Amino acid sequence: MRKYAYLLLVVILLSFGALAAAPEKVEQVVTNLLLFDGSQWTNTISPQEYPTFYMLADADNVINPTRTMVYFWPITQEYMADFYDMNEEIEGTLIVSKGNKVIAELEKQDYVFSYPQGYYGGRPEIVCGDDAHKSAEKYRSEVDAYYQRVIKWQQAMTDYEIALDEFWVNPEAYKGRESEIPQEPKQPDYPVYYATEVQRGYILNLEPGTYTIEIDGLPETKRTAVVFSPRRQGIGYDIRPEQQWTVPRTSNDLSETVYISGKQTLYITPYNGIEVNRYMYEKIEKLPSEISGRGGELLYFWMVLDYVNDASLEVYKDGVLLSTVAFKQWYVEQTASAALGYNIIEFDPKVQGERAPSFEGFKVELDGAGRYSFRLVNENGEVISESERLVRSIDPRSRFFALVLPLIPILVGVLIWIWRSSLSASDKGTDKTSKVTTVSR
Amino acid sequence: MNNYRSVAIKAMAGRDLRSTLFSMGIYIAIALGLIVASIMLYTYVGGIMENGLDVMPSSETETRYYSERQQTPEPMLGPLQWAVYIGAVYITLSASMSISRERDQGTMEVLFYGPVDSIAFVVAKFLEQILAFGVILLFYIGYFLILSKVSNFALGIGFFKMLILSLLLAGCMASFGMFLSSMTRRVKTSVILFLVFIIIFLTVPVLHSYFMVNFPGNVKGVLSVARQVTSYLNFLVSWISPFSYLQRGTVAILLSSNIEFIKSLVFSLLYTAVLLAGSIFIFNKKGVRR
Repeated sequence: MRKYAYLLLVVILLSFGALAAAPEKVEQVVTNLLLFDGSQWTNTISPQEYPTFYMLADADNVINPTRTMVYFWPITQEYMADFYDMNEEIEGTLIVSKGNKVIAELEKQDYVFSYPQGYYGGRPEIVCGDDAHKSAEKYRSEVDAYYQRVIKWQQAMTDYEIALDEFWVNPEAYKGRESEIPQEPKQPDYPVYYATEVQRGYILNLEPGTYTIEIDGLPETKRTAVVFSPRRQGIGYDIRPEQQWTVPRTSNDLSETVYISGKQTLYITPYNGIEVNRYMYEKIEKLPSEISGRGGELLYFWMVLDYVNDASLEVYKDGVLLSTVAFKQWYVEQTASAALGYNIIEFDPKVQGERAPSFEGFKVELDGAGRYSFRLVNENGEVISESERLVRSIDPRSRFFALVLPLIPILVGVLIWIWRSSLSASDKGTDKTSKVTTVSR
Repeated sequence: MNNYRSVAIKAMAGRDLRSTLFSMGIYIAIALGLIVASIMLYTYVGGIMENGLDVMPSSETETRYYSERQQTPEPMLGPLQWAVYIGAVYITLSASMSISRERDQGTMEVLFYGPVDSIAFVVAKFLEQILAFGVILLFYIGYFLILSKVSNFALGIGFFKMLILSLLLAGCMASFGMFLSSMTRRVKTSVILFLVFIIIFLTVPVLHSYFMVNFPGNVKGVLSVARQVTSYLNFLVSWISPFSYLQRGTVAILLSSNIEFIKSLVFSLLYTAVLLAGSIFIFNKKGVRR
């Protein structure tokens, strides 16, 4: 028993040690940031240790200087704010300067994030001022209306169950009166539209450049905002070969060429993309981290914003329109045997039921000969810019030529060597000088 | 240029070019370049056959300085670049021995009893290297045209820009080799110098990239010193290494930046002119005797 008591003591002592590892919190003013990343808003903070933050140009970003408790979390190598411990938003006029010139004086505004196509679908929007209240009210009224419908539905369900009980007493009585058989009432759908609660903050929408922001008279709120634009933007594609549907290849640029080998079936999913600096973009998502963006200062990468599903794909062969393909949903069905294998079939909710489609895109079948190209066309029949890609079919025989051609220079060298050797052999023992002299005379 | 000097240049360059073309060395160098190109193209074709498809960026898709993901360049551009590197290394080696060999063998002294001066001698040697590289390029062009036709890999505008650039790279490499050669009296010393510089030029950028990418700016101790030292060395190498001039031009091609491309051409020409002038100066200082 005493042994267990000692053991317990050791555990307790060790737990005190563990408590001692809790990070030390420091009270300071951070800038709470809600930054647009091209498709949605992401939350990070700018503590005193990271006074420079990065944001995309020509987009609404929300900032809120806040007094809070800050600590460094060594496991993820980042500064964190404990807003539960302290969360005092700082009020005042926000001065935005570029160099020595004040370019804006901002007051806090009401705003909400609204999701017209639902929280899980489509891009959110930021709505400011009076419209923010209208959006929030619209969501609330839709939810109220939904609950009204739910109450009605519950009443209808009660009536239905009573009617059903009556029906089961004598079902034969309903012969010839099938329309009077009780029908189960349809459960109301939850509103698609969603909006957050109204919040307050400074809305910053700036052109590319470096700015200083500060609440008037509060130097501890001073921060530097580096505002940048995407280097390029355009249509990108995920291209899946039928035999490797889980490994899509990406094509982000007009000048990229898709090379295929033989007859191929491709599934092509288009998206809107932006090409951004990796360091700055990662700092949008997680500014006060030692790790985020590291080594990415000179790197650019394509960021997928959203998939394009309201266009059709025109496929050309040697410049002649081959087909116009519609955007569809696809489902990968495993073959019914112990061996691995799958079929890609068109997704049908009636057949697949609750299951989600495996992916979406255009199905393109190429016979492997000739030169192809494809491009996106919108609902009005207009070609979407930067959407064209070339497809070339590779001839496998080129591998043989790749092996043989390097031998040609060696062959030339050897032939020259043989020729030179034969020349020196034939010249052996001949006095060429005297011979030439004789001829000239 | 004086008439006697141009005659001397033509005669010497022609003689040396014949000598180069009648030796096996240049053909082995060409074959090596093509073997490397073939390995890359063979891999590309194999990958496409295995996976069904591949997306290969063309001139505009490479991101600046470093690409984000390991991606293959324009299919014909990468192999050409490596073939050019190998051809250019051969030219540098050949150039680095050109002056010291003649001085070592004593033939230079004999030449200078005739209508040959230091300018004619250096220019002739340089011209011979450029012409030899032209022959190498002819083989490369034939190889890539045939393979493009057979494989269906596209020959983009970047390919042709790279050809122009590679001629200037050859100029840089030849002038660099001759600069080394002018400083030494023995062939062995020239070759050792050449090898030392090639190793430095190729390893410093790799080390610099390693330290910059893997260790943050606020790292302390030895790593901080290593970052600083490799930064300085890399800066130095970026101006004295002829490979850097090709690299600048290649980046310009990949970015489709005509201004950067023209700048890289001008820088290459300046580099060549400065090193040739330096070679003539050192040559005059050292004299023609062993």
